[in-house]
Amino acid sequence: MTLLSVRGLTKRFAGNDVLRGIDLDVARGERIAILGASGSGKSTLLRCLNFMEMADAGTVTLDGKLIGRREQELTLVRQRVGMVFQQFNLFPHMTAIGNVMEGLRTVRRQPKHEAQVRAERELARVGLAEKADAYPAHLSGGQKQRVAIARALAMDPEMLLFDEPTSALDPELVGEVLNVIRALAEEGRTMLLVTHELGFAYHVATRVIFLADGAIHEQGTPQELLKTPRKERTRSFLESHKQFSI
Amino acid sequence: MHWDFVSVLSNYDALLAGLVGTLKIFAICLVLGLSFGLAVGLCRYARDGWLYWPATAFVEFFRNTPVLVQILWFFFALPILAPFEISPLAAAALGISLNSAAFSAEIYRGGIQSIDRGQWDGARALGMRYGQAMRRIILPQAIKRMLPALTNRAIEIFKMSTLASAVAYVELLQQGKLIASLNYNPIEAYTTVAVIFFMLLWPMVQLTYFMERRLKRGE
Amino acid sequence: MSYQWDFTPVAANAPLLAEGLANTLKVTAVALCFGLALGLALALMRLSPRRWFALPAGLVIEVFRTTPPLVQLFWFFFALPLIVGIEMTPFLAAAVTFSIQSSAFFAEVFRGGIVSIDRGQWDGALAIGMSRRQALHRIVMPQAVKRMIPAFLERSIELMKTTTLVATIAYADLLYEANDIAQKTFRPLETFTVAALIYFVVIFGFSLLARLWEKRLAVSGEGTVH
Repeated sequence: MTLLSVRGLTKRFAGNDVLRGIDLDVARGERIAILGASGSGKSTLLRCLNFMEMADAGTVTLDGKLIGRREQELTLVRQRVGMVFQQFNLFPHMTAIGNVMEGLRTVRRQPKHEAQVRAERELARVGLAEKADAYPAHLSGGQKQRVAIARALAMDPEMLLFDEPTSALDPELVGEVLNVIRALAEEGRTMLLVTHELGFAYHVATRVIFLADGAIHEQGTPQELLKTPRKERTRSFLESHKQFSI
Repeated sequence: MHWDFVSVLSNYDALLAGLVGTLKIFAICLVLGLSFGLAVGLCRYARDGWLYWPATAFVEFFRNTPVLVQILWFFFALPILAPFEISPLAAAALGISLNSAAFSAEIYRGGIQSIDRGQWDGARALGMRYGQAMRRIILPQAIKRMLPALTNRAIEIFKMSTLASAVAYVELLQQGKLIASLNYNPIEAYTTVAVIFFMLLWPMVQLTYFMERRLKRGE
Repeated sequence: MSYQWDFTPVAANAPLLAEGLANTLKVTAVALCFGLALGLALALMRLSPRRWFALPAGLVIEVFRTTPPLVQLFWFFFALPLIVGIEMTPFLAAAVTFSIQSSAFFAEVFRGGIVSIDRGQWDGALAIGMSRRQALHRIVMPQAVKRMIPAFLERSIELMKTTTLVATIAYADLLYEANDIAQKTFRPLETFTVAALIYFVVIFGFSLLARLWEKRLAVSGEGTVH
């Protein structure tokens, strides 16, 4: 039941090898946490999976079908693979519910009332039903990210990509977003999560991947990689993250 | 379609005379416009000075009336009031210079205002007078920021030189009209004039882009 | 001052001046509409990743920004008819010239506005499956337009001043009429002064309206509902 299959994914930016031949299989229901230092290629990898970046080499296969480069095909892929960004990227000129509805109305061409009903449900799911008519400028960071998640969910994605969803949030707002993501995980949704929240990864992920210099350095279950890492680099990365634990 | 540029280029001496005329009026208006503009800009900057309102009236009037109207006024209307002859060059130069002064006044004002208040404090703390602070501390910093906009103004002045043809001043477009009427070749004549202007202005435009980029990097 | 000012000949020709003003506004309005539409098209072509869209658009923009408007006007009025073989009235020449000329400047305003929108907005739109065209139309342009309005207003007022050039090709705009009247009445001082004042009042008026509009925009902040 492999949903996503990646072979030899390579990406170069201005002479630097950001991704060096990544091979990855994602089965349905898997929750994969991706860790790594900045510059290790984590975001780039994620963005290549929904073709927000075009890889220089390698293949991406979704549900058994090899994805080509034609824009029409790519927009269809993006409807099936949702993404949540570190900077939320909400549309400031639309209300919260407007944001959630936008994909349904413009991309799926649903009539307004149908989209609205669905959007209200998604907003309720992330706990923001009462903020439906608020503009993003009046929402807190955590609320904005939850709206962004609702917006992604409204498209019924088969897989969700989270690109450091809590890195831009004030610490006290991180929890509300992680709780939403955890609830999605418990529903059995397939997701890839680039994050620095090691504790969250430990409890929610089914597999953890450590990326270094554009390649998969080590991977395993949360137990394996986070508690008993085999490689030196993984160990020192985890150490630097635990320097100021309570 | 048979294009005949030979008849245009054989009149190269007429074009040359036009080019000289264009450059002459450009130089005059550039110097007068940008320097008078500085004076007006300084008056506009000093909000509580008694020159503020006259300067504002000047700027608003010359920015909100077309240059061609100003040129024709100076050529046809001013001689009635003034006891002396107004040549085509004088009329056109007056119109373009005053217009440019009004626009550049606002550039100067904006540039000076953009300099942090702290610079004034630092200058005054050393005992400098207003004029000294302006000359030695504020303006040198402001000029750098204003260069792209001022270069733009220079480009506009160059383009406005063609308006002098409306009062039969000998510049490039006027010569183009002359050649076209003598040789019945308006296509070649006006295309040539357009190409000459493009070749003259293109480096200036590129200079503006270059300066804008350098300014952005420096900030 | 021994000169006796006499405005009565000017006042007697007021209807002609009014007609001239109407023609001025007519040319400006036409050039503005076509200029905006063409400007948007040029801007989008310039932003296109396809080079055989971007380069011609870039060429048009550069040529029309780097040559004097009066030269362009003369070229379109005297040269183009001979090349294409059509009748060219002063109005048509003016309409074509100033439409294209203003579009070159509008294109840069459009492009600047679109480019100024944070890249994340494109990301957000593409990530929910929008095509680039949908993203531009639904997400980027609505935000960009608001930012571009001050520059547009400024350019439009500029256009109003530039169109006076039509007087040189004998189009009966306000300046042309003023010149005509001045010669007929031998009162150039009064006539041209009145003309200058009319121009000032109209253009300054629009300029004030533009500033008011900008202030209102700055206050209102975000938000257009679906």
